[in-house]
Amino acid sequence: MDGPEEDNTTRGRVLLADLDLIFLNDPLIDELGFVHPSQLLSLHSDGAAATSKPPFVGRTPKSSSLTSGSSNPEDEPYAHADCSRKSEHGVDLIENLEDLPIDEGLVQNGVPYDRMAFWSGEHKLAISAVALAPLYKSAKEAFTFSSAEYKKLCQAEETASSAASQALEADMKHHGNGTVSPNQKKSALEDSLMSYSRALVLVNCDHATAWNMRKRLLPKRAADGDVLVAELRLAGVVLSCAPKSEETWAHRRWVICQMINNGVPRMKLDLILESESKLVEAVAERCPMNYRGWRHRGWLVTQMSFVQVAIELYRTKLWASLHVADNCCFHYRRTLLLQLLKSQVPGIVESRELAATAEEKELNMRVLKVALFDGSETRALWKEEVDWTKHLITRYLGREALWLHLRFLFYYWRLHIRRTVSPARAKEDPDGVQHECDSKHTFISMDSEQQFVSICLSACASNLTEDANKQREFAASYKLWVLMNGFQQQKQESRRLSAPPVDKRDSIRMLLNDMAPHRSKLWEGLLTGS
Amino acid sequence: MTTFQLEKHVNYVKSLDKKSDFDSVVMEHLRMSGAYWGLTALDLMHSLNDMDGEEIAAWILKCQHDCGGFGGNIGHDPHILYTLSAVQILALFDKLSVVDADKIAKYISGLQREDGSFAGDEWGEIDTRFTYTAVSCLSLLKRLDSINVEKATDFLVRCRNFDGGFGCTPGAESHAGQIFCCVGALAILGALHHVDRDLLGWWLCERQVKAGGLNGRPEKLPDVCYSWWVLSSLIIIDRAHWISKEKLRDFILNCQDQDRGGISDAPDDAVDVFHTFFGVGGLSLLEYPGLKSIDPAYALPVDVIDRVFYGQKS
Repeated sequence: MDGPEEDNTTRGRVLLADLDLIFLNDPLIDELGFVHPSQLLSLHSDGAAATSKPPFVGRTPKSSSLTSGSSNPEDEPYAHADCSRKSEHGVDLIENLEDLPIDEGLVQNGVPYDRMAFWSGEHKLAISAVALAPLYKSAKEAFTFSSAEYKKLCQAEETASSAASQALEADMKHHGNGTVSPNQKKSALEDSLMSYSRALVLVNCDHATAWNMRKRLLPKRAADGDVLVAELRLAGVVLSCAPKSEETWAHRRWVICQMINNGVPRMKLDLILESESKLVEAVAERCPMNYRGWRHRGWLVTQMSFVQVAIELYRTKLWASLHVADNCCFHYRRTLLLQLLKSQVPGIVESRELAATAEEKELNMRVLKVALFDGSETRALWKEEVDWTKHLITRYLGREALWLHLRFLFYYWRLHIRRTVSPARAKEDPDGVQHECDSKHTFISMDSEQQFVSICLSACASNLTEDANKQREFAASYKLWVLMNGFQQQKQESRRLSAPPVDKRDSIRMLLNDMAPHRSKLWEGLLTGS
Repeated sequence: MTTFQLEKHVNYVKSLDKKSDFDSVVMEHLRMSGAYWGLTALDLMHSLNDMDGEEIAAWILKCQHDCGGFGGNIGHDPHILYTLSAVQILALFDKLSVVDADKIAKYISGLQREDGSFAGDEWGEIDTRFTYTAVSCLSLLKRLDSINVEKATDFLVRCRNFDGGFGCTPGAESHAGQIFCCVGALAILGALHHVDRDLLGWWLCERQVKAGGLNGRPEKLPDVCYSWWVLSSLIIIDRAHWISKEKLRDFILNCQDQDRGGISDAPDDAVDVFHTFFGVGGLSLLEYPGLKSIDPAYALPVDVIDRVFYGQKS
């Protein structure tokens, strides 16, 4: 077959080989960008200074770590645009670019790769948007062919019938490979499949079949832990370009589980979990409210030691206060708080693997006290979170994430913590309704919260901005939350919202319809239960 | 008022199969789901008969693996998500008899874990989306008895948050898409008593922004696909009358490409088949004239569901 299609196929194969060469030359590549051909040219002409420019956001420290380094705030406008795979410099340009001439310019010094397709330096890789289609096509064809070959070899091995392997050997002799044994062929195929699958996931982050092939092959190669560390790095490269890729986040979790199954020492695992958590934070900086990324961070908590959870809570405080609209981060804090509460149940702290001896356990507790809340009581922990959240609410008007966090803090205090922390102060009547008899002693009560709402409402009474409108809506709905949760039947096993007492209904109805008339149907439904 | 461009949307969806640009090529791994979105949208717009059911069923069978599961396309690994899409498409064409229901049920029940959750495939990723997929698929195949329904329900309940919503795993943030999966699965399992309707309804209603569109989580922008995830959940828990349906309808209609057809995530953005389906699905839930009714739990036309369960031909 001749013509343009043949040219493209040949070009694809060359690009695939070039990509191998680039990763061979620099195994520490940690960031990827798809660029317009003109951007590629400027990267080549700017040399090393190029990494502070788009599409790259991170500078890799000289001592390379697992993560892609810290982000550069100056690049933020671009970084946000890059959140989607279809960035302005991304794949959607291809249709308009197909007529551009492509020359095979090779690097004169260093690695001889196609300069019209790639740029690599400072552990970064840029791929020209026009090179993506031929590269992907070739990788796909090679992957499909080699997968089938590999499957045949494995099947022959499994059946272990001499007939099958003889047939295979005869088949290989027929193709002029008479000197290659099935084992050698298998190993060569595995190498090729690792290369093809890498190209596939770099261009198409959610190509699950390619990731799966890597999951099949890695255990055979993971005799030393470095292979798995390198796999985390590859997944990091993909995430630098596609931060929302579900398959890639899932692959990271699979790799970490492999490490745990292989018996990675606890100290090393702690470091891995810490660097994973930092990676999510770096990604969240560029791509706000990334559900799949934060889900990964939440999963990490399930693997963390008690001390690490406490340290995470301490560490994310500053980030959260700088990202008050990021509900994901506040949810992450809720996960951490609940995990700490769970750990305080007698028996759970003791059973943690990390605290093997009594001495270690005491050390853990000391670290926790210093790192976290300077006191061992849940009460102090909760009070600090409530005070901090209220401070942020009064400072940043109309932030839904902050008000939801306050809803959570009130809800858990009322229903789950107060009784265990201060049982003497909660007096129940025969119907099981808890009365507000402890307002003097508790920092979060129905009275305190209604007062807080009043303060917030009067503080922005004359403010006509949209943020102030939202602040009034959230304050009013928080008051409803307090009323509906405060009078709850404590004995009820599965919690249900209960409508506020009749005497309070008219005033809250008026407030809600005043502050958020566009939700009048919701308020009516909640207040009347219809 | 903007009107619904039915004919243009039909032509848009029909044109998708012939596309071979790079964007389409890198979506090939989820073609099965793409086909489900497009074909269901066509059926809701009374245009499924224009498609060749025989040819589509033959392609679907080529995506099935020996284990019983389906891949997103020929040559792609099996996954529970594509297995549901395959079964849904076959249901649309009244061709469920071409597959071995027991074989598919065996594949799906093999993915249930001890704690009741479901993995998406042999690699073990857990998500409430996979629970919904398992439950919906087995229900359509009338094989719900092949899994531990009680444990599956318990797992869903463990994913419920203080705000009444559900996340992808226990403790994960509430998300409208995951809420649809959990509420839809609980509805199919007859276990909606585990849902606090007022509490969840409150959270879901707060997804409607002043302009009328729905977002999927607090602090996010409205997006047409949540017209489906949020509204279907509200209907299942009988709280849809708590939002402004007129404003939502106008938001969806404003996301149409008036010239070339198709619906986008937000006004003036590029259209795609995913948002076209969820836009049409949302309008169907709103009982927009000229569209077939869609079942809020199965995400299939009501007449298809009636045919599957009651053998009624439309």
